[in-house]
Amino acid sequence: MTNSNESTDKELVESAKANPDAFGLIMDRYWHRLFCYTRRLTYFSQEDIEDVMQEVFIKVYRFLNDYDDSFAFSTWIYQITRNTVIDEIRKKKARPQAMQLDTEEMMTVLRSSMDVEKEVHAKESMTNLQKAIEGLPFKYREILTLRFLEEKDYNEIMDIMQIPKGTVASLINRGRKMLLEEAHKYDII
Amino acid sequence: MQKDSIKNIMETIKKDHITPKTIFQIRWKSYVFWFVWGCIMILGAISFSLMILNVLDVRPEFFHHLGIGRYMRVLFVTAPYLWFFLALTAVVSGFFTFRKTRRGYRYSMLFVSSISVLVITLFGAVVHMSKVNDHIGKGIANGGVPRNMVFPAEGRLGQPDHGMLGGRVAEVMEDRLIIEHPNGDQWTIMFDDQTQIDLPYTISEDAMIEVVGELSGDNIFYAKFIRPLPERMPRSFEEEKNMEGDFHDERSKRRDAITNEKIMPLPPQDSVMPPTE
Repeated sequence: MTNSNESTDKELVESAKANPDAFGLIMDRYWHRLFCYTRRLTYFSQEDIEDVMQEVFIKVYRFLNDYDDSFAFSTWIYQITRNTVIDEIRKKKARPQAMQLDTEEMMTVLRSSMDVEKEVHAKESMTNLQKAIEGLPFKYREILTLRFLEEKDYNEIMDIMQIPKGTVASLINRGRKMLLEEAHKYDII
Repeated sequence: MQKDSIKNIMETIKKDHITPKTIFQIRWKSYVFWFVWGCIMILGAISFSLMILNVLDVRPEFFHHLGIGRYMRVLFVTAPYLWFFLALTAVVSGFFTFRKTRRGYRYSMLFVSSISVLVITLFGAVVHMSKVNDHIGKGIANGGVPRNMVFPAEGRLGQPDHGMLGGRVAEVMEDRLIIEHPNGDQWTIMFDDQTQIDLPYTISEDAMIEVVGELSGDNIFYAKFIRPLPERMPRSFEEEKNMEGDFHDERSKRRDAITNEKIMPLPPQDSVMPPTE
C-alpha cells in the first residue's frame, strides 16, 4: 500500500470513496490551509471557523463523486470552502467586517499593488493599512487574498470563484487600483 | 486541536452514516440545464429557419427595379421581426443557460454567444434545407397565429405603393393582365416591350406571379419586372390547393426536365462509338 504522505490527492479521493478512514488523510492535508483561507476571508471567531471547517469537510465527503480530476483537487476543495464561507456570511446576515490578516499578510497584499521603495513608510502605518484593506469590497479582498496570499494562478481562481478568466484579471487589476486609492486615502504611501 | 476536530468530523460521518452521493444525484441540475439549453437551441434554430424562409425570396432584381429607397422600405415592412426576435432571444437565453452549466463560467461571453449563434445557424440551415420550417410555419399559421406574422414576406405581394404586387392571373390580354390579389382586389397589370418577364412558361390564367413596377392609377399597375411567385407563396388564396397544385406541378416538371438535361453526362472525348448495324 502507498504511504499516505506520498499518495496524490486523486488516490486519496479514490480511497476515501470506499473507506471513510482514508478521508481523514485528506482532512489532515488540507485543514490548515483551508482554516487560514477562511480566516483571511472572514471575521469569524476560531470556533466559528471550526464549524465552517466541519461543514466544508462533510460537504466534500458527500460530494466526492463530483470531483473531476481534470482540475486540481485543491481548486475543488477551495471552491467548496469559498461557497460555504459565503453561505455562512449570509446566514449571519453581516458583511465580513474585519479581515484577520497579520502584518506580513497585509504587507504581501499591499506589495502586490505598489512600489517597493514605499514599503518602509507603509510598515509604519499598520493600523491604517488594515483599514485600507478592510475598505475594499468583499470580492476584491477575496480575489487579492487568493492571488497574493494563497498564491493561486488565474485558472485556479477562475475555478474557485466560478467566474470567467477575463473577469478574474479585471477584478485583480481593479482591486489593486482600489487598494492604492485606499492607501492614499489613509496616507500610507 | 486540528487532530481533535478531524476526529470529531470522522465520528460524525460514521455516526450519521454519511456516504458520498451518486453522480446523478449531484449532477442532475447540470443535466437539466444542458437539456434546457438544447431545447432553446432547437427553438432558436426553428425561428432562424423561418427567418430564412422569409428572407430568401428577396431577389437582387428587385433592387435593380425598385431602387434603394423603395427596396429598403419593402424589406423593412416585410422583415420577419417575430422570427428574428425569437432567434435573438434564443441566443441570449442560451448564453445564460450555458453559463449556468457546471463549467459554463470557464467560457467567455464571446465564445458562448458564438457557439449559440453557430448551433442555431447550422441547425436552422438544416431545418430549412429539409423544408421542415415550411410545415412548422403552416402549422403555426393554422393554429391561429396571424399569417402575416408567420410569413411577413407574403406582405410583399401587397405593396403597390412601394412598387410590388402579386397574385393569381385571372385574365391575359395582349398588353395587360388582370390579377387577383390575395385580399380579393383585382389589379390591371400593364406591360410592354420594356417589361422584363422572367417566367419559365407562357403566362396563362391561374399562374401565380409577382410584379415589380409603378402604381399608375386606380388598381392599375405598370410592370417593369414579372416573375413567378416563390414556391411556398402564397397560401392564403381561397383556391390555394388547386392553383398551387397545378402551378407547382407544371413548374416542377419543367425544372426536372431542365435539370435532367444539365446533368446528362457527355461521352469522353476519346470514346469510340459502337458500330451501327
